[in-house]
Amino acid sequence: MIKEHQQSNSCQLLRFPLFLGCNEDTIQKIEKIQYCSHFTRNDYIFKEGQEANSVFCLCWGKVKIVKKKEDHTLQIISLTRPGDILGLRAVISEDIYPHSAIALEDCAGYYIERKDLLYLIKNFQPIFINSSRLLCKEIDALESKIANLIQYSVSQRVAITLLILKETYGVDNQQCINVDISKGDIANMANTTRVTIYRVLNHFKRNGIIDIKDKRIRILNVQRLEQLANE
Amino acid sequence: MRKKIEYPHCETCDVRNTSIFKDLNGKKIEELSHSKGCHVYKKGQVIFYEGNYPSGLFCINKGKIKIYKLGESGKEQIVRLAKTGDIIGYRALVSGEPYRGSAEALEDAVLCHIPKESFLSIMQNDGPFAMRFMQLLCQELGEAEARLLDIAQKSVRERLAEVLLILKENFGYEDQNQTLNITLTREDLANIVGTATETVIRLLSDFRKENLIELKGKKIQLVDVAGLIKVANLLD
Repeated sequence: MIKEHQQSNSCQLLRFPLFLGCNEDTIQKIEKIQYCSHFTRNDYIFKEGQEANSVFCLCWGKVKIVKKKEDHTLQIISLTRPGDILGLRAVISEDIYPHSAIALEDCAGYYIERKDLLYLIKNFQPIFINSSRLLCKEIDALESKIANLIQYSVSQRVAITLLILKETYGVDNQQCINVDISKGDIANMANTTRVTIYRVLNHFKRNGIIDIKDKRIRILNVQRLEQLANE
Repeated sequence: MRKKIEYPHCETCDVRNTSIFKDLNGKKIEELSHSKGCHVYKKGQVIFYEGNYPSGLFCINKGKIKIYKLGESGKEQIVRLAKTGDIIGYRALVSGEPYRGSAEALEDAVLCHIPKESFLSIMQNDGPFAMRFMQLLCQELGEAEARLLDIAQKSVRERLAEVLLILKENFGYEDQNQTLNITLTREDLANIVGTATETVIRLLSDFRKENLIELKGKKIQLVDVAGLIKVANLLD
């Protein structure tokens, strides 16, 4: 399995928005400096508070980015998918990791060390532009999330969270959202409690908007869900 | 009648020393100064609108600017207050996407407009400048994250106290009496904290009764900073 992934390295690298527009030479350089790693569910890819000495380029699998709150529970900052670069900000600002990255399922990707990444950013214009864009997008996403938390009711926030999950991970042929995520994590993303999440999801279920089976959420009526989110 | 003001030149601009352009060398500064435009904005005038595409970025020569998003219900959410020496509208420029918020002058302001091409050319030719720009993005990302955490875990009262402290840090005092050097309406404050205007009015009057602040019209005087830090639940 590992071998197979190493062989398809260069096409894997081209899939990352960070390396978009890089020529063959550059890609080959990057191949030389990265190293591959595998993780299973609930593994830490990096941990909050550690020195940020490398970024992680996620090739497959899903990862949640979390931050410890004052009461020591965790707040989900974002969910990532293949093609995303994890820890970019901390590495560029030469800081400690401001949050932890935890595998939601089996996953794999490449580490690129700080000095190598900074070299790439400083010497290859497309990588510089791409990394600025990625940072901008992250800021945009956070600002929308803040606006959501402030302006929307709980059921709107749950609807928005489900739509975000659907957009991030897609659905299978039965319209089930393609991620095994706990109700606690959904509650966390919608900034509410687990009890409330059960109540709201059941309410959605009774109204024929979603169906829940084996931890997976199936979206039956997207239009209605979008209406709820925008009410 | 409005008086036409003299354009600030980058070479002699003292605001530049606090801005991202401070370390540019002589020739580049000259180019920058030649390529930019400048305009005076009245209080309440909009500088750019959410949803439009940028043609360049703005550098604040004078005045304070609020950047806000509009919610579905038309309620404002202020995402940032910018001050003299700050640049605004740069994210949309880099990401090639429309503005994610609108910018409006909180007081009479002077803004220089740097065309997209000039800015991108500086970025391409000046490595240290490009890295500084990236650090700025990282810093902004960190602030957005902190705000998200605050909203997820702090009460409105804690957040209001924290906002007052942040205003003090960013804009300072205007006099010896520790009066904040920025005038915001109660509605603006509510839109920063993310609550209703009535709630802000009630909490401000609570703070006054607890001798944390003093109110003079729209001006806010910080009487007990240590007390506010305690209310805001800030550890450092």
